[in-house]
Amino acid sequence: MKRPVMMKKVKKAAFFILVVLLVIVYVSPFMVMLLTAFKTNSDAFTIPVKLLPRRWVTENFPAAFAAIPYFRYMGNTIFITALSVCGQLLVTPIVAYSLAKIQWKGADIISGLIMATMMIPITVTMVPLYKIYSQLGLTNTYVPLILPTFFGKAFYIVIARQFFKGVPDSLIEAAKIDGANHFTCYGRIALPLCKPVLTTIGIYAFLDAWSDYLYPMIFITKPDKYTLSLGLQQYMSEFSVDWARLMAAALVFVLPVIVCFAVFQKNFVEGIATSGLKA
Amino acid sequence: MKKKIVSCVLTFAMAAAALSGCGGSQSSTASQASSGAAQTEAAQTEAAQAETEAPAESEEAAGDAETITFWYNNTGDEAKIYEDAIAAYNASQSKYKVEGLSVTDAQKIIVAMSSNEAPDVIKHGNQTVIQYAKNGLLESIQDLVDQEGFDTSIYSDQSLEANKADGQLCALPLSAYTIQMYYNKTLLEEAGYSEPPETMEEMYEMAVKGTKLDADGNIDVLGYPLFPYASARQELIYGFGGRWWDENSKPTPENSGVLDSLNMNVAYRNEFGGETLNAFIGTANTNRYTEQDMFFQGKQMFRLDGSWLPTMMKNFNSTVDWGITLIPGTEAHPEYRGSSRYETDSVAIPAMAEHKEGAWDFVKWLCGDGAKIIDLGTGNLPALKALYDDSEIMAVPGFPEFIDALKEEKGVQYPQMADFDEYMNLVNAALDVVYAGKQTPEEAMADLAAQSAGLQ
Amino acid sequence: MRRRKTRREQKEFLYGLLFAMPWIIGFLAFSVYPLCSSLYYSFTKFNAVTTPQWVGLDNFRDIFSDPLIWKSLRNTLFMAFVSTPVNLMVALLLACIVVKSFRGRGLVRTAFFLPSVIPMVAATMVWIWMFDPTYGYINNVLGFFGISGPSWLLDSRYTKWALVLMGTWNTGTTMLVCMAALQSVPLSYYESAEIDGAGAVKRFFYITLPCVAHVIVYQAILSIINAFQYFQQVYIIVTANAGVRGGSAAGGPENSILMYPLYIFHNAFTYLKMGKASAMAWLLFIVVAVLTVIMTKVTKKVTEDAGGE
Repeated sequence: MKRPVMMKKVKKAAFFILVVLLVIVYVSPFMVMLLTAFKTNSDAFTIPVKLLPRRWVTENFPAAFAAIPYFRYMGNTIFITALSVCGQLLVTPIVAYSLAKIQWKGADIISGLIMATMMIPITVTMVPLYKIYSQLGLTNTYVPLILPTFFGKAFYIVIARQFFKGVPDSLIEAAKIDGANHFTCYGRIALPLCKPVLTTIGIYAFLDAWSDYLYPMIFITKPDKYTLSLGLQQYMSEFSVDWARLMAAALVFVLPVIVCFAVFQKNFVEGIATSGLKA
Repeated sequence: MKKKIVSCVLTFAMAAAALSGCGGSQSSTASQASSGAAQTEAAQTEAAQAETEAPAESEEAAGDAETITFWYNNTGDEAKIYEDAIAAYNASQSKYKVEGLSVTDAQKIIVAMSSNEAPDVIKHGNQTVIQYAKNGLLESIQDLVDQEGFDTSIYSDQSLEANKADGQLCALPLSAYTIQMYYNKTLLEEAGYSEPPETMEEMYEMAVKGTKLDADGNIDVLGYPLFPYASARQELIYGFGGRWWDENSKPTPENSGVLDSLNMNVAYRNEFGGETLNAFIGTANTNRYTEQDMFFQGKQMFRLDGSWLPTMMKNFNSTVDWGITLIPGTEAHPEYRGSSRYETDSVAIPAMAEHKEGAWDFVKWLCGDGAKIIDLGTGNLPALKALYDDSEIMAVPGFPEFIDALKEEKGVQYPQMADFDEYMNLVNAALDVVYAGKQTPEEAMADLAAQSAGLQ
Repeated sequence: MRRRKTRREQKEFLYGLLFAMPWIIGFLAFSVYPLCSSLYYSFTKFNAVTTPQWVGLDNFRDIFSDPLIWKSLRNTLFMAFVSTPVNLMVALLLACIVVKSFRGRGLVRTAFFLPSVIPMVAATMVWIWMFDPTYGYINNVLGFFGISGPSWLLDSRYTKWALVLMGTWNTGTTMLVCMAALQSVPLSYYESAEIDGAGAVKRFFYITLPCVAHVIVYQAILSIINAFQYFQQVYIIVTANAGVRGGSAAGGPENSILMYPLYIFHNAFTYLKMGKASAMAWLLFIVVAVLTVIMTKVTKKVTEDAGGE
């Protein structure tokens, strides 16, 4: 009788240790960022390396904000992010409604094409897009970054379509019998229903725009228009990098993401679980 | 008030005249002629605008000074020096207003240069500038020089040579770089020597004796100057008479000087272990030019570096007792002593630039009157011969030695290759292979020769 | 009767088209047009300023004689076929943990997933710092156990493994998908197995794995496709390593992390060979398209074998 209980306890303890170890491993890069941000630079470069700062300092934050026009980059990033989220939220449900709730021949073809576009490597379209935008004089503007969001992104459309599929057709049919056309159906019934999925999409759109690096890198040339991603990367590749400052700058950069994640964790999990499984 | 109005109108009239004159004389090639014509048109409308606006609102007219955008690839404190120079230019005249911008990413500059967002003036290393010129991204400075009869002999011969693509001047030299050997006197004495080496063989012997390991077997003091990589790739090889390219800018990696130098590097690596050296060099690279720089901390015996090093050491209060000497030659060829790369910071005008007249005016000023501000502020050597004897320049620690070397005009020039970056990528990768001990220098260089055969 | 239906169909068709129009326009402008012009560009020679000049198959000949293409392809294949299985195993392990109910599960799940939402630039930056041979935490932790760690990002033998390690930190999305799949396995299966006396390991291999196989296969192929697009991390590492006048190769030590997309990027925007870059991009596109077709076929088959879903 006693041995199985023992076994269970040992198993439990082993599981506990494994989980704690893994959590430490997964959290450690954040800790490194956090702790280095509060070290002096010479402290960061002392051997033997100490985990905790010898002296906690906050001077890296103002220093980082002074070394690069941090708040300007942040303003640029917020501007781009806000417009991108608007674009995605505006367009995604409309397209998804067409694919899920309107019975037309094109729906399946378009759904297939949408899945296919998710696979097109960005490097294939990079050069032609660069060429068009530069011919139109739109490099070094935010147009190349924001414009595409007003035409829907495949991943979000898939999530929203999945959601609309779950909405009973009867709701829309009933409205149609009352003489409503699709505009009214969409505006009065479908759109109000899809608030939760819009939240999910909004969060993803926020994250995508906030972290986007490749497009700003290709299309934005002047430092005064840099986004935070780009500004930080450029700062890092400069000659003598002050790592403590860099980590301080990075910390402020990821903070909104962590907060957003903490608040909307449920939506994240749902978004990925539904789209990942069925897609 | 009245004076101002008159001067503004006059300025614009003169600008218009100058531009239309330039448009008329430019007829050598079709593209130049058309760009000239476009400029004339722009100038005429501007002049017309000035005529109508200037009498009404003098303030605005004064603010109408043509804006010239200038991109430089310096950051931090160096960027401030450039801004100082720009401010000095803006104060010196009222026709143009230069706006400076620090842009370091090469890709960003290329993208911008090919769009209508192109800056009017760019400053970059001469090898990059030549590559741009070879790819048709730059306006020919030669044409501007010829038209105006601008006297280029104020610059040293090698600085002009460094900025020519296919025999045509494509940029003006702002300042020069060359590399010499710094040595830590204390470490040298500890190793039992009083004088710095004159040949590579001597240096090797000293380096092996001077290298120190800590208790864990890690490198504490690096004797042989394997760091910085860029110097190991250049000066260590030039000292053996080696060259990566020939006079026709064709790759020559199997050059015997290259092989000799690499074999010496490999011998040193074998002596102390590639991995321990990599760890040291990796950290040295992270800390380069910071307070923790290995040479500033007294952890490097020899350092092949530029003229800015003493100024930096002074700023970081480094206590290292250093000296400067020429890059060693070899026992067989003592005359190779003092061979070093010769690079310039170059100022050029992109082909797509909008305000070429103003750009040229600023380029001439920056590489003339402005050069001293830049050289003193950034610790770079002058390209202007007149500055060689300047008392303020000569007062900078280390400069007298470097300027003596410049006067020799023995610098090794970069090749004029359109595919230079691609070649350097291959060279670096081949060196990595050698240093990792995967191939002998002979094998790696033979592979490199095959790989780079198609480059132009 | 029949006519009315067709009219209704027509109307629905128009509505459908109208509602889908934004995406269709975007598709034509941001996918179809770039793909077609990229194909055209691949037969031309041009840099950022010159107009494309027809050169026939020159770019392709150039590509097949360029040794770095093969090197970059090998590096990319390494990521596809080494990093992918490692990531999947890690993701599955994490999913098995967070699918259990225990106190603090929410926090653990957060810890595992959070890295996946961190901006790439910030995450890569921290890793570069952690990989520093002397001051980096990784080597210091290894040193604590008496192991002297390598120069991760400077030694070509370790650079790719450093990327693999970085990748495992970023498996949150796959973990969540696996978790959802695990949750969908009916509990009754486990209960009956337990009654039959099957141990935990047996249960995992005979019940769990077959039930989630289709998800894993799908994720595996998706990861392989993503590996062919692996770009941003290496670009950030390489530019950080290079310094301004630095001497590092454009693809890391010995070009050991020169990934195919990175080489495309260098050709387009550093070497100014946009025609060649377009040709390379098209080859990549073909490979990814083939993989996508395989993915659809295989997923279908596995799903059918698993009894359909």
